[in-house]
Amino acid sequence: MSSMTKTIVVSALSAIIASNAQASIIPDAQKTSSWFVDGQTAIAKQLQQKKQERAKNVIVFVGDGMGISTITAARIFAGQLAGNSGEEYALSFETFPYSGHVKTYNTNQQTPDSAGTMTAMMTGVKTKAGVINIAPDTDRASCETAQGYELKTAIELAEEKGMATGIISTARITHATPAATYAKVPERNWESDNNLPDYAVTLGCKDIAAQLVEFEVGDGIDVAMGGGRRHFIPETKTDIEGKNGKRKDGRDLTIEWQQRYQQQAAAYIENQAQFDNLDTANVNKVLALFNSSHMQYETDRVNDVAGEPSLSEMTSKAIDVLSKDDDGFFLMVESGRIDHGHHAGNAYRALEDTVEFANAVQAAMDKTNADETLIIVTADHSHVFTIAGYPQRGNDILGLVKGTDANGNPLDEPTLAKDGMPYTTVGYTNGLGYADYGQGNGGDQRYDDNAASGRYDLTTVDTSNSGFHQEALVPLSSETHAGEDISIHAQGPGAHLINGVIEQNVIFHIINQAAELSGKKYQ
Amino acid sequence: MKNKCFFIVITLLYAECLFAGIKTDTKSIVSQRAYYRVIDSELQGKPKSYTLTVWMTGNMLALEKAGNSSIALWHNWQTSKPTLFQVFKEHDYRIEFERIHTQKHQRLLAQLQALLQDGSFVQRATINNKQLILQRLIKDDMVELQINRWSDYKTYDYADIGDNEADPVLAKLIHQGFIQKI
Ligand SMILES: [Zn+2]
Repeated sequence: MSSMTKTIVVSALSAIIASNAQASIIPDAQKTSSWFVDGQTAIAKQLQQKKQERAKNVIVFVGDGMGISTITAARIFAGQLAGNSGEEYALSFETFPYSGHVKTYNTNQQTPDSAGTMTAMMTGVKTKAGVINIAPDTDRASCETAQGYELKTAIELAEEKGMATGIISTARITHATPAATYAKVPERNWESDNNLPDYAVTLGCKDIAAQLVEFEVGDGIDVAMGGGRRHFIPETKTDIEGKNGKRKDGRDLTIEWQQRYQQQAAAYIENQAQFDNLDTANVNKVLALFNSSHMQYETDRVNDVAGEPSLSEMTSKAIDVLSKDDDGFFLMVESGRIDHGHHAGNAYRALEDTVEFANAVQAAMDKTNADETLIIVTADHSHVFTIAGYPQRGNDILGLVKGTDANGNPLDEPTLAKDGMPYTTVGYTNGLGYADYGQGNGGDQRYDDNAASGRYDLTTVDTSNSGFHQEALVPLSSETHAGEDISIHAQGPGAHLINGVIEQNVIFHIINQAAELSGKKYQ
Repeated sequence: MKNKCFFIVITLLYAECLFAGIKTDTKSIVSQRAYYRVIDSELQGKPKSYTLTVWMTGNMLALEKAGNSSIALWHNWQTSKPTLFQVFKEHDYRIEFERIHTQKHQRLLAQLQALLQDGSFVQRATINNKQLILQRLIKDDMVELQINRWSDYKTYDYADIGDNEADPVLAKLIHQGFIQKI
């Protein structure tokens, strides 16, 4: 269909919708309602979507643990930060034209982990929890059975095709999700050799950090930014933030990486100042390890010892470096700590990191052309995080539930439960439960503070503080993942292939179809 | 940024500056362990006493309370950026904390550091209204050996606990609620 024909069809359809509305006599109060008008606009926008097949670039955003309730709460949180009631707000990727539901289970678990789920997305094959890019025929943590069952990843295919490649994570760059773009290990905890059993070393299994630095396909991964410095340096070495490395084999992989690329325009960086000085126009290889372990939550970034960039800043600079390649690029961006905020039962950190994740997607939208870049935004799994009660419109998403009266008007006082106490809108099914560390630092970790499941009187507690931990029902020392579907959102060439309820491994095939990573399309 | 050094733009200088902030002379410490009798008069009823062992090497400081199954261990304790571990001696496991995040912990570490005067432990001290009386002080190789043993325990970050329920020992700790007061 030519674009002119398309325009005519779209106009005709819009006219039909408009004329039908009038023909059926829609009451004025209805058709002049902003909800009604906005709804018509949404349909018109959808009708104008052109199906594009061929993606030059692919960016896959993964919000670790970003279930649908997290997206909803983060949307309201962001809207309220902007001074609105919040519910109507749309995170950047919620404006994408295509979306679907994703079934996340691992081959051996109803509720999955990141290793198995990211393997599905990166290779097209589901596997066991804890296993990275090894087929499910083998056992977890078994080096001997893994051999011969390694799976090829989208990044390897992209490198073979000559594309530029990049990975970004706010978690350790050796953590399960980013590792599943490049490494093949039967155990996600084999991040450096200190965690690798002796027999596995003898059999030739390699730790994840070593696999990143030695990545052989194409010319190696071009941009890698995240945390996890400790897995690259010896245990005897203290880094710029006062933390020791973990490696027992004495190797300093940061030096090995620099030696490998000494003939190229390569930069190894560790802090905000070096990041700010990165000459993206002239550098082609970047290894950035900003923290010993995971990078900071967005809210704690200001307190980082050496300073570290935000997820959106990293995304922006990575695209600047990668987009210089005429063959296109493949970039994976993970917000790794939404998951950790939830595990700690600290919704504030999970939501603020989700908002920053949406900012990173916006940065990518601003830096790329939607006609040539497929942007996919998804999660690996959900969390047992709920939005409950009947809070009035605009109620603080982190606040106590305040309902409405018999006439539907907002009440000033919090709604009381049957135990006579108020309750928060957001909460957890399990985990450590209630704690109140006030506003400020370090609200995610609990040391000598026991699990406090069940109900507490929150009447005088400011539940919106970053240090507040929501109540939980089942006492566990860590809140858990959840087994319901997560969502996927996309724009750009190939995005139209995403709809309905899909298995997580289908995501790989959508990427492959759009970018022809394996050389030719399937059909 | 709190650190003034942050404003020094030249990267190398910046790194040097950070090092200057966290580097101290750790050689002057002789490895030793001190057994303190703690009298806690705040407990209801009559004063209760128990033994507290403080293990110390140049870069490690550990606090062991009699009857507790876990030990608090600080790595790089003489620097401004110590790392806190919770050691589970019955399970050979450790939990690593990203940073010391409460004033309570900072105060506790400062109080423990103050137990050391001129390279040796003081005879008497008061911590959180508890009286500490030195019972025994031992300086031998055993201290280094024990601390090294603890340091070799399987270690998980606090942030990574939730993703490692497949580890049976950690799962047990998770489900039992492993957090203990020092
Ligand atoms: Zn998790």
